[in-house]
Amino acid sequence: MRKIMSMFCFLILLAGCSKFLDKKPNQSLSVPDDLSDLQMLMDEVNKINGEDPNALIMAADEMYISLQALDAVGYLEKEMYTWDPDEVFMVDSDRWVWGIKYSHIFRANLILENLDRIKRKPGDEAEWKNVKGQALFLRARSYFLLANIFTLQYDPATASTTLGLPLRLEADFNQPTRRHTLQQTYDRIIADLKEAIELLPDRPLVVLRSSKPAAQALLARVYMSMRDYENCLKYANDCLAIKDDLIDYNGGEGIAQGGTYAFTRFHPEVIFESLALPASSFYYATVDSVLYDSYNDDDLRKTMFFAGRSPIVPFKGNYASTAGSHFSGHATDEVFLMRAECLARKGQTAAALTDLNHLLVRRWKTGTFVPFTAATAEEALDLILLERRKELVFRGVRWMDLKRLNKEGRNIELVRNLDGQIYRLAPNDLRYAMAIPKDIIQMTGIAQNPR
Amino acid sequence: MKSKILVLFFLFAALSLVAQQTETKITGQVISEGDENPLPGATISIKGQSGAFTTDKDGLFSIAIKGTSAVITVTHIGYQKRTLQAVVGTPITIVMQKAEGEMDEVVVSTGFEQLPKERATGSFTQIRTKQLNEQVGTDVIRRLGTITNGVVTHSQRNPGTSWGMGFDIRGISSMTTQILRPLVVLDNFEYHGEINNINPNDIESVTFLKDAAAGSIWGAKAANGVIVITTKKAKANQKQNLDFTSNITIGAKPDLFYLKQISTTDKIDVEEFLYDKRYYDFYFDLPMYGPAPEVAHIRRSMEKGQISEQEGRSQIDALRNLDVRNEYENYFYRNYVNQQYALSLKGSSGTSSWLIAGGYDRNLTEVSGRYNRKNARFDLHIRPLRKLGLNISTYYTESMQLSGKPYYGTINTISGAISPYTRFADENGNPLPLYNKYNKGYIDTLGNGLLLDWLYYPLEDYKHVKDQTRIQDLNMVFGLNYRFTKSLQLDLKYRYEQQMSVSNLYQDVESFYARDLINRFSQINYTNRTVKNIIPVGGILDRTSAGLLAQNFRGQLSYHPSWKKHSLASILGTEISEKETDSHQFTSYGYNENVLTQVPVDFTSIYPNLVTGGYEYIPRTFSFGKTNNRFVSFFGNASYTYDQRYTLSISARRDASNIFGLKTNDKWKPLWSVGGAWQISKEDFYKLDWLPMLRLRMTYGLQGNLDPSKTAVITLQTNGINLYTGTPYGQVKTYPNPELTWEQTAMWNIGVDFNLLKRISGSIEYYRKNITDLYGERQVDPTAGIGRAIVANMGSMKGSGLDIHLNSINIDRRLVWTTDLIFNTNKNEIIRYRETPLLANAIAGAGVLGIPGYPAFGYFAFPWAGLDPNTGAPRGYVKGAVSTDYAKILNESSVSDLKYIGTLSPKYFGSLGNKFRYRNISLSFRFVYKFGHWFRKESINYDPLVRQGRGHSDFAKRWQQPGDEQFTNVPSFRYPVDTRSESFYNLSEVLAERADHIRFQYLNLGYNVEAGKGRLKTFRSFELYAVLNDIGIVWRANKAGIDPDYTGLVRPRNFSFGAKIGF
Repeated sequence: MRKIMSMFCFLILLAGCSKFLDKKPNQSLSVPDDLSDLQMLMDEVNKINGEDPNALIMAADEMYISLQALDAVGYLEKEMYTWDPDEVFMVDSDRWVWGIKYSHIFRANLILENLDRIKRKPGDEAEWKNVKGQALFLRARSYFLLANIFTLQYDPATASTTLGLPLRLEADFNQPTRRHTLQQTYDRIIADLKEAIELLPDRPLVVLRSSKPAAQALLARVYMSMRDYENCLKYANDCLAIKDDLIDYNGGEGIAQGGTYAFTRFHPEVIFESLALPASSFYYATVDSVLYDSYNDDDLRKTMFFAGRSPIVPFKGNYASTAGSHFSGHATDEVFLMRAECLARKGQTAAALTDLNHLLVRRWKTGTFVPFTAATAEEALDLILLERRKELVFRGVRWMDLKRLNKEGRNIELVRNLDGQIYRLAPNDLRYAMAIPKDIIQMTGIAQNPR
Repeated sequence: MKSKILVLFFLFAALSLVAQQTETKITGQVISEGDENPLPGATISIKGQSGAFTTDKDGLFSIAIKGTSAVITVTHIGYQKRTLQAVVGTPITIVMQKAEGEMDEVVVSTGFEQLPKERATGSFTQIRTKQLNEQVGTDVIRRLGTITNGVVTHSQRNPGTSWGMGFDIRGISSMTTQILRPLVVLDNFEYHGEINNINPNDIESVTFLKDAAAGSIWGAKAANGVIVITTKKAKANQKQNLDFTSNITIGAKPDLFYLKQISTTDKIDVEEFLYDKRYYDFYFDLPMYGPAPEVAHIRRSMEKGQISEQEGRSQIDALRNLDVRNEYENYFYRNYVNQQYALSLKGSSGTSSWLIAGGYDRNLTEVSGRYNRKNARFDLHIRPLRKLGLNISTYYTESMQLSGKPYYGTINTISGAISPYTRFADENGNPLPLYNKYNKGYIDTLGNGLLLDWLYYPLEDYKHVKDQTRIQDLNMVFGLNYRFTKSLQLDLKYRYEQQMSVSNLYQDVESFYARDLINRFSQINYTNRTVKNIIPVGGILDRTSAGLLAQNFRGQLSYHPSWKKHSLASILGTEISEKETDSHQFTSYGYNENVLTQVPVDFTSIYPNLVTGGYEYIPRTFSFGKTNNRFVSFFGNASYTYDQRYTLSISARRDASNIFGLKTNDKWKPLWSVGGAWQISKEDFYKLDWLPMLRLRMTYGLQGNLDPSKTAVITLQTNGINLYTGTPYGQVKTYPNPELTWEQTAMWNIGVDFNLLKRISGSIEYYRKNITDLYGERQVDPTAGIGRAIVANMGSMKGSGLDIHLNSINIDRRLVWTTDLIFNTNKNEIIRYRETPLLANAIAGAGVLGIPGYPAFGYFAFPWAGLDPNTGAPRGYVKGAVSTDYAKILNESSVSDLKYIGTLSPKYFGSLGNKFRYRNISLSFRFVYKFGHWFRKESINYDPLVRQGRGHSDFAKRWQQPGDEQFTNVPSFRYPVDTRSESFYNLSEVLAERADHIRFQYLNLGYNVEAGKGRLKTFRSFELYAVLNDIGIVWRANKAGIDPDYTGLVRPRNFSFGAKIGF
């Protein structure tokens, strides 16, 4: 009998201590241990490509929303629209841009930390570089969009003493949050993008993933926001050397046949697709009347972007053709305009106008476009800036332009008139750095942007 | 060999002949009523003869008497005395009825062993068939909550009610609502299947294991208590008999008018007000984004001059008398009818005994949905050798649930609730369309009549939507028992459980969902009037299937020696278990139910949406899931009793699991308990006649609580396939936290069992528990990028309470009256918590809170400073000063600025049952009570009123003009709505109400027809019963007329009647 008992115990022990307990508890769960696990985190497109800040559109001077509409959508969008100094973002900030963008930064950090740890396969070098490049791009882009909202205009003279963003470069969530300087913030964005450019492929699998031209287009935009036009020109050139497709609004590839939206999705101009977070007021908004009137009747953009001024219809020129939101990614038209502007600023008027006309001839009805000319570089620059505003409407770049152009004294004052109540945003107002959500201030003790 | 037996037989026969000639004996067997177990140790006395006799271990007796017959009296503890005539030569079977109000059952089951109650040190509550059957219903769990000592049912208002079982055993042992579920054990093994599979007629007993000594044998899953369900079993030497039960329950329609909703006329006024504020302009400008209410349409026609002012007014006024609740009552609701049938047959022969049982339930719900359930059970015990016993037990369940008509509140528009004046049919009963998604007029013209009808008809649509769930569950246990010696046994058990559940949501081509989707994905060529359908014109099927496979293997040695005054009962064993789940979900288009065909569609391309113009994929649900949880456990327990007076028990268990990221050393979690009992009344010095039984017991031990979803390493979860790249996409599921350990509950239990004046028996128990390493949400700065919180071991909590159970026999004559009182108290308090929320509005209102010194279900509220006399706005305080700066109140108050209202979970609860029996008639009824807690009542919120059309009847009590603040606390309607003002009002103290109430739970009238005689000769027993269930609240502390346990509709009263027949 003793024999039976000891046999029995032995059998049980054997079963218990072997591999029985090493089984994965949930097949859909994994600890990050190969490249595909890391790529998986960046392929969640509704997050990674769908959560750009809508405040950049709402606070700029591109759209008009009536008081009635703002009353209907709730106080927060009204505060965003009227540049409330204290509260622009709801306290539950993980649902708003601060938490969202930092969650993308967390993903990027997690991927970057694990890249050296994971199992490697022979011949996966290119894929490994691609994943690393995408992570760096994601981190840089997230910081850049946050900097647009939460910091003042970059100025090389004061950037080392101006409040920048808290830079988190590790996935460890126990690290305390503190604000870095604006100089450190931009240095980090630039360094990440430069490294990403070295790693990313020329062509992505789909434009929902970043690529070398995407990183170059973004870096050019970063330099433009810093008013470093020399470097902006360099990266715009590099980008266009790889990808310079433009679609012709008169028809052909990229133009939708019927339907609400003017363009097909993933058309050749798109370098990197990303959407702003939806906002209720986008439905109620009309395009700013001055801006609308600035389009020539032969300019196809007037009818392809807008279905007239009344009745209200959402913006049709969305490059992602997705209802309820706006495209805020990168496309070649923006890069051409960046290059044109930098050239004009360098005094290369002819070259600048060549780029501008190269773009605009594809925007006007065939046969109606008379190439623009300019007597001076300054004149060319004004032309380019106006066309930039018209071409990139609702693309989330206007807020950045307002900041940098006011810095050079263009004195653009924003005014809202809501049934007689006037709201103004003076050039270089401190409110160009929006208020950080209160709970973040309370939880971390970081400094609020000066008011 | 054969010859030897023959010789012996003849010898025996001859001897017995001799015996019969010289002595006269009465023989028979004493068995207990119901289960018909033999009763050993019953005392038999014979009239006119001195001395008493006892039955042997098989309940048999054989007593020599003078003469040929005698009047004998049989007594047994826990049973009613019986006196009857016994005749020599005719063996009799004496069926003993259980004593009324007897609560101490002889044996309790832990799922590992049967334990004599008088030797148990732990805390058990056992519910027997009889008590369970005082209520009637399809499921077993619901009725347990109201009759069990130490158990309280949840209120729908409390956090976490959607989890678990609908009740707590001795309060909560965790702050994570997902794991507040007690462990359910069916016939010795954890039951993973759907709990409603179990047919109440199959149940022999339900035992609640409430303290550590009782439950720690279940280890890491036992902290929330264990419910051990034992089904009726085949028993050795049972008589062959057949039992049949049938009952019908009829339930009233729910009272929709109990719901406190804004009146139709008030709602119309609000819609008119919003129309004047140009709120609905957007609906008319962008008609594809949602429907405007009918009143807005009428106002627009008036404004445009299409109808006259007078005409419009009269149209609007005609709507004021309507109430959509009448439409629901008339068209969708009915009385529900539940039918239940159960049949069981059992018998034994020689070395085997068996039981076959079947059950059938057929329910027609209040909205004409269906629920059918079939149960089949088979239990076989064989003892081929004296030392070897074999057992096979199978339990098979099949259930089918089918949707019916829409429930109240399920017909909505895309922006929210339908207006209360909505009609589903015209005067002649013809179905009316409801504009639930697009504005009236828009879809009528879109597509030039080339598309499918685009209207939604509430009266028709449900006929084309079939939501059906089928569950099949098979639970099999194979057991082997080997007796090495009388006191040493080996038990091997293997359990195999497989559950398959398939849900099909089939929306045929006539359903609005299918027509709308097909239309939206249509491409119209207006020139040649053709339509290209991207989605085939046909039905749409969404199917989810989920499989579960659980296997357990348990080996257990039992050693039960006794010598002189000592006795020991011990077990030692090990168990390996595995639970696998597997799920799969997909969508089929163009599905044809009759020929089972589908049409392939292209899920990988984007198509323009005809309404929004955006490009979209064809919607699909598609997923696979697989989980696998494994445990290896070792367990043992022992109890030693000396002279039936002193008992000492110990138990220990270690579990290891395959949970991610635990280091091997941490995978093993030791849990143990010790206990002692002292039967004082058996001491020589004990002389209290009025207290014939007195027993003290005390236990201490540890139980675990684990959440397999919480891991200590970072894990990623795949959410699906990115359609654009063809690669999987996913997210971080859990964040690394190497310190994470299991929750642990340490519990003390002190109990007294007593019997007073032989009339009152009962027990009083006091328990204290300390829960450490509570899982909780540690706040994280969102800048870290992982959301607002991560799971961590946050702190500790203590809980304590009293479980008092008294049974009294008030009258014991021809009329027997017994009372059964359960009185429980429970409280808990957070002792330590790693952090306190910084913002007061994270605490105010109702939630699971970690604030030291307060209960986990504490209710804090903002102090109220009345309504502003000029505007009717709610006022609170900022730094002691009256204020309407809601952003400051909500975001800058700290916890100390809040007012503590009380706890959301009852402090005192229990039930009072009474039972009368006169001859064959019995009447029992029970009240259930809960006291000492609070709830937050609902009130008007203007933001959902404006945006979603949902309003509360408090709208009528709102502040409207200066002076109103004297009479009302309901804020005025101010537009635009400041949602911060609403949040403040909702979280303020004025909405706190006392939740104390008493409920009349059920009333049961039974009639036991005298069977076995006359016309009922063929019947062994015949019982008729009628039950009124869920009678309703009889007293409540709140004056608002609210049932604190329900947020929506109150469960309606229902009436059952049935019969239980034995052959």
